[in-house]
Amino acid sequence: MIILKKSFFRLLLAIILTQATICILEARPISYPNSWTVMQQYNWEKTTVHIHYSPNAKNSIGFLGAYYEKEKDRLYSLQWNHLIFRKNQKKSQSNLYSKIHLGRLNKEISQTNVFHSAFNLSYDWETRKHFLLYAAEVEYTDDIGLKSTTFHQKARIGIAPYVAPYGKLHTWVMLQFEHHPDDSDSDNHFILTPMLRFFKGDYLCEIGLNSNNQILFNSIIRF
Amino acid sequence: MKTITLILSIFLSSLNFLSAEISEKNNFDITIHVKGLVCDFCARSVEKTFSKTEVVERIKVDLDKGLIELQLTEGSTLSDKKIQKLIKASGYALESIERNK
Repeated sequence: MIILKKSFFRLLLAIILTQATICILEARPISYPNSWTVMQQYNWEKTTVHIHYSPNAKNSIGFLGAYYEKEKDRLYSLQWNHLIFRKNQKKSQSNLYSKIHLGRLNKEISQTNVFHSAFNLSYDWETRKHFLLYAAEVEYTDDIGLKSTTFHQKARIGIAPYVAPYGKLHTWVMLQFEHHPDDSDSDNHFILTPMLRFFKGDYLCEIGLNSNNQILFNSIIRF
Repeated sequence: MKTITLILSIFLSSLNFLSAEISEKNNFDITIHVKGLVCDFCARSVEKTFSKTEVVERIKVDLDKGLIELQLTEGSTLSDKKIQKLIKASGYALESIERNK
């Protein structure tokens, strides 16, 4: 039984470590100076891995890789995140971030590599008990003979049921609204995802189930 | 008699614990009030930044009060200007600095 428990926890840790989150990328895409961040996102649309280096508290650069479930396309790109503005207050913090990625999209259907880029702006406001986020993104794909631009936006609200001290386990209850007006499947135009965020030290993970009964799992490690 | 001894032991150990708490609090040389400390990542950020400074021996972050307490190495100093620079480098805003010694 003990061996089984150990194996389970090892497996869980391995999943978190190897699939390392985009979730906080939604809120905090930049870490402290001279640090690394590994992030992973798994949702209805894609599986994403980010490996980022923050030379300072205002910028981070790194690799973004994604696998799109439906199209079976693969993305390899470079991403730059920039903190445009931060307002630090006694009990709250708000941030405006920009994120740009430029890369190559490997299209499964045509077996071709095409240019892909995206520009994202996100604003968040956080206290120790409340969290708000809005993010909008424009994606551009330069397919052979078919150039396309798509728009997505999302918002999140979160409440911490208790306030944990530094270094202890923090828990958040969150609700995410997604709007994908350009998606070919109308079920994906509006998606609602209730989720739980767990946060301790340098580790964070999020688990949710969306309105189409699809799982969301995100994780992040900073070092 | 046994009960009295037990109560006395508990009382004495509580006193000991209390004095240890007070002693730990008094060991910090500088208390820094910071704006924007709202999450563990923020606390981690200032902790890592200050830990890299050679003169900082020990650091304690209190998210509830939005403050950082520093214990410096024997005989060393850390100027207000340097503290302000480190807080800014961490991504936060300095509110005030208190020197405890």
